[in-house]
Amino acid sequence: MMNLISGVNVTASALSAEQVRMDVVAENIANAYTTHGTDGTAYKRKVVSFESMLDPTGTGAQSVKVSQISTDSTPGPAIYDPGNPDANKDGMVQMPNVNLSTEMVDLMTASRAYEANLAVIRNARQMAAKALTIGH
Amino acid sequence: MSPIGLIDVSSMMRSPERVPSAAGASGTDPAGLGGLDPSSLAGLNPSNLAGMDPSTLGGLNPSSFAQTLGSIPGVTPGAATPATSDAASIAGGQPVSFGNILSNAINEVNSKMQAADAAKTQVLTGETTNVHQAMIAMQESSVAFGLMVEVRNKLVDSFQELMRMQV
Repeated sequence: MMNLISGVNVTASALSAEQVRMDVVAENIANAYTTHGTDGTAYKRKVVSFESMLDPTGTGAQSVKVSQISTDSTPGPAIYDPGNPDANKDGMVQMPNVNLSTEMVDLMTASRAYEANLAVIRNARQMAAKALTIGH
Repeated sequence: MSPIGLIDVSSMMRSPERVPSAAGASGTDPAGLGGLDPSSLAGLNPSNLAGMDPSTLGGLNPSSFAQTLGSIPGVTPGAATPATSDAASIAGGQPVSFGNILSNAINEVNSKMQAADAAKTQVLTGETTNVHQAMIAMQESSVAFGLMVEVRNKLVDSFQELMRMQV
């Protein structure tokens, strides 16, 4: 199939990857105060890592994909809250290791990266459309 | 995606260019006429060309025209040869005509629009959340359609230019 907007596959893969990153940040923020995760302990924040791969369409360009979503095992703070059902016998509750400021910065980074890739697509489209006006 | 598509498009974009130059002021480029196969033109849009007498076009034999032009000093016919060999290697045996190349390109534009439509439907029905994929598919089909319209404009221009030819 002909491809009129060049490089669009690579950019599309980056858009998908940034979307995954934003999803992970959303999960972290949503669980910023979850003391009882699916495994019974406090929620552990997740970190997304990207890796490049050869563009499957065979252009030789390198597109990006999410290689893995790993868990940040840094211990979170413990706060004294004896009324909490998740408190241990000393009344200490293990909080998630989510730092809201860090997550907000991650969110902004993902958002800006998404915008940058959108700008690439917009410009590539404009270039193709301009090329069609040759001869006018 | 294949490189074939790109070559298709480039040869498409080159071919109509020659037609006006053949019929235009210089009137010395037989390649344009050679590339403009009367039969493929008739197959393109029968309704538009129905009023045109096929025998008139048929009487315009490109090869004899090229020979006539070749006898004129300073005129070298056959400038279209690289393009035709390109096209022949693309098709790999199947008969290559300008009409075939054109209809292949139109089919690709059609399939692009269908893909864009499918992506849009998937987003709207909640099957996928890849809004950007749908948008990209729509933009791509829009650019492809624009290219097709430009090629059609060129064809119509060249046809009108031919019709204006002094007889």
